[in-house]
Amino acid sequence: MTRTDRGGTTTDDRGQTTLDFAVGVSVFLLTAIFVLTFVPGMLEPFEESTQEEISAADRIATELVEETLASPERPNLLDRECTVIFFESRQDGNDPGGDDDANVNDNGTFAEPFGTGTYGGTCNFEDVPLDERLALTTVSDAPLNVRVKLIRDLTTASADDPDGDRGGDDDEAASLCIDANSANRIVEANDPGDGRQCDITGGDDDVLFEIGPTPPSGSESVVVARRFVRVEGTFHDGTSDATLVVEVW
Amino acid sequence: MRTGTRRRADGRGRADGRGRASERGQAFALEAVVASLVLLGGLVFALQATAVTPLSASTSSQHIENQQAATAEGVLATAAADGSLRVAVLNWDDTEDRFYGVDTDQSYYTNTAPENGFGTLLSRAFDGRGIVFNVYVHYATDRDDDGEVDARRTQRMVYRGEPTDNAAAASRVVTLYDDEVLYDDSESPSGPTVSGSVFYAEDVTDTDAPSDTAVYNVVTVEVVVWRQ
Repeated sequence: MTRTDRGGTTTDDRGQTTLDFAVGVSVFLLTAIFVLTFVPGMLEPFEESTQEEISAADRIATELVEETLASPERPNLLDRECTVIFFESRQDGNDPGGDDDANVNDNGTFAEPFGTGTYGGTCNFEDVPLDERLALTTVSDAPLNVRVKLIRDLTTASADDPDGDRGGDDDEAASLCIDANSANRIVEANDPGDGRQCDITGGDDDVLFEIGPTPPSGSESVVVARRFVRVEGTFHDGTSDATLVVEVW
Repeated sequence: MRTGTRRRADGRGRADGRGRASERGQAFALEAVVASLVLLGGLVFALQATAVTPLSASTSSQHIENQQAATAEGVLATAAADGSLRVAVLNWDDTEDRFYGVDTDQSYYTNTAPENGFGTLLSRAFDGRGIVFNVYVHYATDRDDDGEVDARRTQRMVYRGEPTDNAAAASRVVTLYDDEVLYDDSESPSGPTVSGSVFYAEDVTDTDAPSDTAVYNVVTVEVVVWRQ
């Protein structure tokens, strides 16, 4: 009875939801959904997942141009021999290439480190793997990958495309290399290969100024740090400035 | 009695129920609007508290500024090492009172890099990457010739407009000596020896005073870079 009474006294006996209620619930739900979808986007800048890569890239680049490849009192001026050894060490098992007159005689103020063709000398790094040399942490779950390059767009056709199969000076920056086919001068590593310039796997004792694995081409974000540097001596076109690129992912 | 009471309650209840239903108007919709305003208000408050917009500084934009500043430092270090920075500072046309290669009424470059080694390095580092740069030369002045620096003034070398808030800067000091000569448009030291009448910066020490030194002026070259 009581139930019937209550039922009878309120709107419980209506068959349909009131328009008022439907509109109210819709408005509220729409707002709530909008707010919920907006909040994650709002917080995104603080959840920067490349934080570690950014600081690592900057640290490595600074360390390379001020300490490892140069010296603290003359930052950004890379020691030619140490730079060659740094990039050579991963490669073909030959002795450090470029330890010939063309690359050593341009020496500036640094002592010649090529004693026995190894690390014996004055370079600021040891004969250890790249990760260790760059002081990358190995305790992290996802270890950082690093590639270091020395790039430049050289200004003459003979330095940009020494074997002439690319139509000369292409006005695009590419990694540099010491090419045995070009009298061991530093040229651009366009279109490397056996019998051509910058053949790091063949019999030529070429040195590509690039070390580390190749970054993934997928969606993974690669953080890049750049430093404008001067290399002791000159390249094949007579200039000596280049850009050191550190990619971390 | 009971029946009466119940009937009365019944009647009143029904009356109330109908009354509520009919008097309520759009109460549910109104409540929803108020609730939505509370939610949106909270969101706006949070936005104001964090103040994050696509243009506000984050670790990413900070990284880009750091890279630009480091690149500018590298350009200055490189130019100082090969001597082209000094040439650029002294590459002054004393008859036209402007830098060599400037083809406007101004004394400084406005849309190109300087036509010398330093300018070549600058354009190699920044042109083509959407980065523009200003170059200033700050020098000391000594108006009353008492051998003490009164103020520092600025000569623009490259001016491409007002830098944005996110600009980065690097600077390097160049010391000029009394026997320095001006460089001509082919970058050879064939101009007159520096003096207040042929150069923008004056000798900060009185040449007659016993305190005169071989130092002519100490200038600071500042490079300001920002994304276009």
